[in-house]
Amino acid sequence: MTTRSWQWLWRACAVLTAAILLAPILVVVPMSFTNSSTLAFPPEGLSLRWYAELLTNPQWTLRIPVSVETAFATAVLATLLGTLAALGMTRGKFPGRALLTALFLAPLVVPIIDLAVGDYFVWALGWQVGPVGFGGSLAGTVPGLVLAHTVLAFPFPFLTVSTSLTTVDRTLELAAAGLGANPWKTFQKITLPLIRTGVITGAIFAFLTSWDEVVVASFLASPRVSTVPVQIFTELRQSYDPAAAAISSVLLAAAVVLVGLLALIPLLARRAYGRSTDNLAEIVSGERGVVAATS
Amino acid sequence: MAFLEIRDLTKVYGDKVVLDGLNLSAQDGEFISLLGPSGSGKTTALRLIAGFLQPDGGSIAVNGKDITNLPVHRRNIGMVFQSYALFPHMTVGQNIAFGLEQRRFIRKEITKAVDESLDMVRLKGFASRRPAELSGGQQQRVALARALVFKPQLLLLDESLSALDKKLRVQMQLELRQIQKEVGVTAVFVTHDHEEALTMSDRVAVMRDGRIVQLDTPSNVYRAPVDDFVAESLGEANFLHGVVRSKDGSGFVLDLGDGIILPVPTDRPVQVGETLTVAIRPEDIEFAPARSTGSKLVGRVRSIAFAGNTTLYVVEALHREIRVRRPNTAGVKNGVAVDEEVALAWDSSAALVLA
Repeated sequence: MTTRSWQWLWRACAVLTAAILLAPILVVVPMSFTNSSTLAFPPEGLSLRWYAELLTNPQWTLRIPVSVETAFATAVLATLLGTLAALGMTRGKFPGRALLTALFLAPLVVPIIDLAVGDYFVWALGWQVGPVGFGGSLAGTVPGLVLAHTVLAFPFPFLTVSTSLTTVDRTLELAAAGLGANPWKTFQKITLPLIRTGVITGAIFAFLTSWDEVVVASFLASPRVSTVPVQIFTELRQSYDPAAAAISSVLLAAAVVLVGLLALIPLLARRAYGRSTDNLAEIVSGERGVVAATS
Repeated sequence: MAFLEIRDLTKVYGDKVVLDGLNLSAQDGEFISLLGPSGSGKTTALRLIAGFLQPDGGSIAVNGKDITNLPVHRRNIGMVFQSYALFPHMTVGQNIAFGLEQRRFIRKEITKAVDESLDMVRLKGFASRRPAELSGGQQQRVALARALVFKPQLLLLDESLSALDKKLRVQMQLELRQIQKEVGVTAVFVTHDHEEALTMSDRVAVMRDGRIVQLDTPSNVYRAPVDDFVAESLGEANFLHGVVRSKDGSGFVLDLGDGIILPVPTDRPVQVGETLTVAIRPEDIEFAPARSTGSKLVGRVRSIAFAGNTTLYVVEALHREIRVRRPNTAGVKNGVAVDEEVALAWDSSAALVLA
């Protein structure tokens, strides 16, 4: 075979692989527009009735706010903690730093079912060590979901902010101090703007981690407080409710928009910093590489 | 008491003494250079004055106030870094305004002061540019404006010109000194470039192994170095060793061996029979007609290297190499060729007696 035909073969393989990966995801979208009362492919007729169902049926209208609240709170909490941890690990000099870093990344490798089981017992029954108690009435609450999801989401902002911090020239912080800025002002005015890309990227990944999480959420969910992905799972087991396809499409759209934002960050950063910092694009794609490799 | 008073400043890393009891005082408005090779402690000294490092001993006082234990952000010292350290996410105007904002100046005063300092560094109209859009020389000026705008008590310059190309560097040396004089701020300048130190300073502190070896005016450190290290730190030098044969009120006679004697005028007390080293700058040596009377040293030319405004001749004499640098003046020929026998001569005051 000639080089040219090899090239075509490779391209065909790539397209086929992409199709196999994407098809199960994309098949949901046309199915959500069906007019039938059960899931069907190809969809029968064309209607938005299942999207309307999302806005009216309490089994969805109660779940959507829980999912949104949990994901937002998780993103904020995980990003805050991840940024602080990243600062400590990259700037601090103390023994046991490597061990602590490994612990911070542990949620990425610990079997999620173990976390779910552990969370379930502690959140539901509580954990008493001497006078110190924790949990007990957290199962079936939004704070409980947020805490559990924060553990899962934490490694992403930790990684992205750590990567950003290594690119920050420490001399800039010294310069700010020399000009009269106290440590907090220095962080606020110099360090934070320079690691902004990492913080935003980490927050988006933390949000998405919570947004589509099923395992831990299904352990911690109660009939009253549950998340959208858990409800989809329940619905599909009981009936082929096309509303599940509609809400799945909404989740997918949200994820696509957020990942699209990630692609925009380098463009915005370039506009803000002028021409010498074109490598910011590489930092962001590098971060995505790290996250992709670990998730 | 001097404006800047540094006493017994010491910094130790592990078992390495980086700064070994540094003493330095500077008058108000004085420009002092710390000159030395890498590892001599000059940058450490500067970082201690700025407050980026804590000393292991000694004290620093500015204008009579001890600042040894004051945190960086309360010291009121302007600093220009080698890499300029301009904030990339801020405009030139925001960079310069930063120090004033930290001091809670009102907006109107900040705008006025930023405009004035941009004027001072000849960058009028650059306030809204990003640092990345500026050339190296322009970034340097912004860094200087940023360091001076809040009227610091002290200006520190850390190899601030070494990132510029030669031509721009010479121009910036003069400009920087001009501005420092206008503002009247006391400045401490760290450099490893002896020409820069000599051109810019009121006094030069030559440093080695964490200590100041000599602190004096540029012409004195150049013309009266205390030892061979200082002599070589400030430019090329030939060292001649000999024994003092005789002395009188105006100087002594040095026996260089091989029957060659050298009269050295000095007011330094010496002992007859003492072994001494004198340094002679290559540009002070002239070629005399061979075997002419009064010539001091005869040798053979080993190599000739043309270097634009000067030519460097390496002459073998007294069993060693002696460097001779002659100016290349249009229409004047030195008329010396490789392997030719030449006589070397110099004014007797060119021989610098080292300790």
